[in-house]
Amino acid sequence: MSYLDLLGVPIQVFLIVAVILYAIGIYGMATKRNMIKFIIALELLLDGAHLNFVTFAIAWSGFYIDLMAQAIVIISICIGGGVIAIGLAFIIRAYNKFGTLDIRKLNKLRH
Amino acid sequence: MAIGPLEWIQLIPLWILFVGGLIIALLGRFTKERAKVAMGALSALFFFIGILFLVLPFPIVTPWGTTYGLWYQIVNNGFNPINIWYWPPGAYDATTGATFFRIDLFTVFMAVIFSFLAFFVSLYSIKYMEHDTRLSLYYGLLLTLVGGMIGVVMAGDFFTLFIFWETMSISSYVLVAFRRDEAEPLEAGIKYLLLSAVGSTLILFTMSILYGITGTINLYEIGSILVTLAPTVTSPLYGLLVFTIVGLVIGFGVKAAIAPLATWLPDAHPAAPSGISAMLSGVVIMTGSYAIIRLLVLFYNPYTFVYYGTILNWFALFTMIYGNLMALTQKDLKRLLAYSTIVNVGYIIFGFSIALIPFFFPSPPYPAGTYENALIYSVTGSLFHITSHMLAKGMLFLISGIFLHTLHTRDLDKLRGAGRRMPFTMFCFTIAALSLAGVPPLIGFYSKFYIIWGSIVAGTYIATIFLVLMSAFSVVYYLRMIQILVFSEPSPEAATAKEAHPLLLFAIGVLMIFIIGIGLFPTFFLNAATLAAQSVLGLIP
Repeated sequence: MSYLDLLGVPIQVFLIVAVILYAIGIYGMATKRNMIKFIIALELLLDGAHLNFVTFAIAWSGFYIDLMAQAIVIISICIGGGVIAIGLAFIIRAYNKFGTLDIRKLNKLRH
Repeated sequence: MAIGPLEWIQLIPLWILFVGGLIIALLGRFTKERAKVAMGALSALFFFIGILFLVLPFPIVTPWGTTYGLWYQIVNNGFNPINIWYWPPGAYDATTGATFFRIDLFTVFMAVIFSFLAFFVSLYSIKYMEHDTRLSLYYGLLLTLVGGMIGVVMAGDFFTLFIFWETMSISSYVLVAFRRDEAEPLEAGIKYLLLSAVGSTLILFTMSILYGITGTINLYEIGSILVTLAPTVTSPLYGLLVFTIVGLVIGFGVKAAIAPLATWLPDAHPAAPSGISAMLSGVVIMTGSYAIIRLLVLFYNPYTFVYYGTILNWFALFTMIYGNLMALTQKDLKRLLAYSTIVNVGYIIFGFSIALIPFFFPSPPYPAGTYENALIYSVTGSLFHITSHMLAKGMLFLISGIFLHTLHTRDLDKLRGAGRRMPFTMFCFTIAALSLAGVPPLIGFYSKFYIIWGSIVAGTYIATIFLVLMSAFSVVYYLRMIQILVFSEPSPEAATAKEAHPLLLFAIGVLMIFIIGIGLFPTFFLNAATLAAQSVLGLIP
């Protein structure tokens, strides 16, 4: 595996940042109650994965950047936008219906 | 070789659904949603065309040339899979990780199952959804949902897999919350979206690590590289690969509804419109199982990673126990069926996990043929169980939709005795429930039998005993449902019930005929499932 440096920064730094981003996202998902914060955490999770992908793409590149990994990240950003748009639409409807953004107050389904 | 006319024909089962979704959306737009029957019929037509191009053993004449069904093509070509590279043109030496479709018998087997149920759900929805609005959205998303699933099973690299995985997921989020003015679908949709999206990001993260280790996103290339790496237990690479196993199983396991991750399922499946419940429970979650078995078999040699198959096996057992215990106390018919789905996912993952357990004889050579037999029996059983579960659970959800349509309730207490007024519906219900319970002449018996047989040959006796116990345990609530719906005195609500519209009965009637028919003559379907199992295990090219 060819570990290049990016502008003098070792590539491991980027990988560690990616893992930290992902961990923050998991933390947000696990502890928050506000649905908007869930969406923010989801965005962080996606960003961690994307950063990891791009970093590895550069590590595997010779003279050219590896196109496929870049493409997967760009497509995934678009898809993530779609998922988050749908999530926000649900949340707006839920807010109008339940009058709260707290996910624990959405408990019509507990039998 | 860029994508040419022959490849376009071979990909018809995939793209006809997306084109069909677009046509239906436009039709809804131009007729201002008035052509409700036409949209449902068109949707069924597209699924039917897809099935024809998957299985037909006769020449099909298309504007681009004459062709055969994909299954027939692959079998006649010595079981060699069909590889279709589409981008970048020219860069299809496997090491660059170009994007491509790879169609083998397992792919076609799953794709036929998906399209088959979707065909009947479309017909059923013509009547069932008649009072709803925005039906162009409904049918369009149903088509893209199935298109996404077929794309997932056809994918040969992470790029294709991820795009179609997300296509499927997004369609299913919107379909779960389709009746957006009610509280229940909205709440279920939010929970489903959040959990499922976290699963998707975990899949993406794991993909990035596998890409970082191997330098390609081609699934088959990754598999061959990982086999040559063969890390020792103490090396850091081994730990990283174990992490990717966990990531893949959890990421896909959210969709596949493995037990600790299945909390969204009993909320989301009952909340969707009944046709979509049937799709979600019958086939959508099976894409998770598909991805788990396909990727784990490809990537991780059980002799290098010794225990992961066994751990997956335990999780399958835990899934069954969880589903069974929760199903016992349910008062809501659709919720009970959703928990029963979790139990059946347990059986399917159990059968698949046998293929990932290193064989209990100490080292090769094994007694002649035993190893392959155990794998083939159990994976065949799982594939056959996917079929039988699709037929029976799809039908049960469609029938619960009929109850909703005629009696406007899914509470088992209020449905008490409803079957007496609806004899045909109730006959179908009984057949499907007995099939899921595993009563011999029906299809569900053979599928469970093969899983059990495979796990006995593989030597996992204790797990097999648990599987049989759980299977016997599940009979309790199937019989309870039948007892409540047929053999009880009718409740005041149920006394007014009468047989539903013939179109609704047609869909469940045909599924019932398949359950009995394949149960009586299982040979043909068992052979097909065996071929598909051999193709996923790499035993035929």
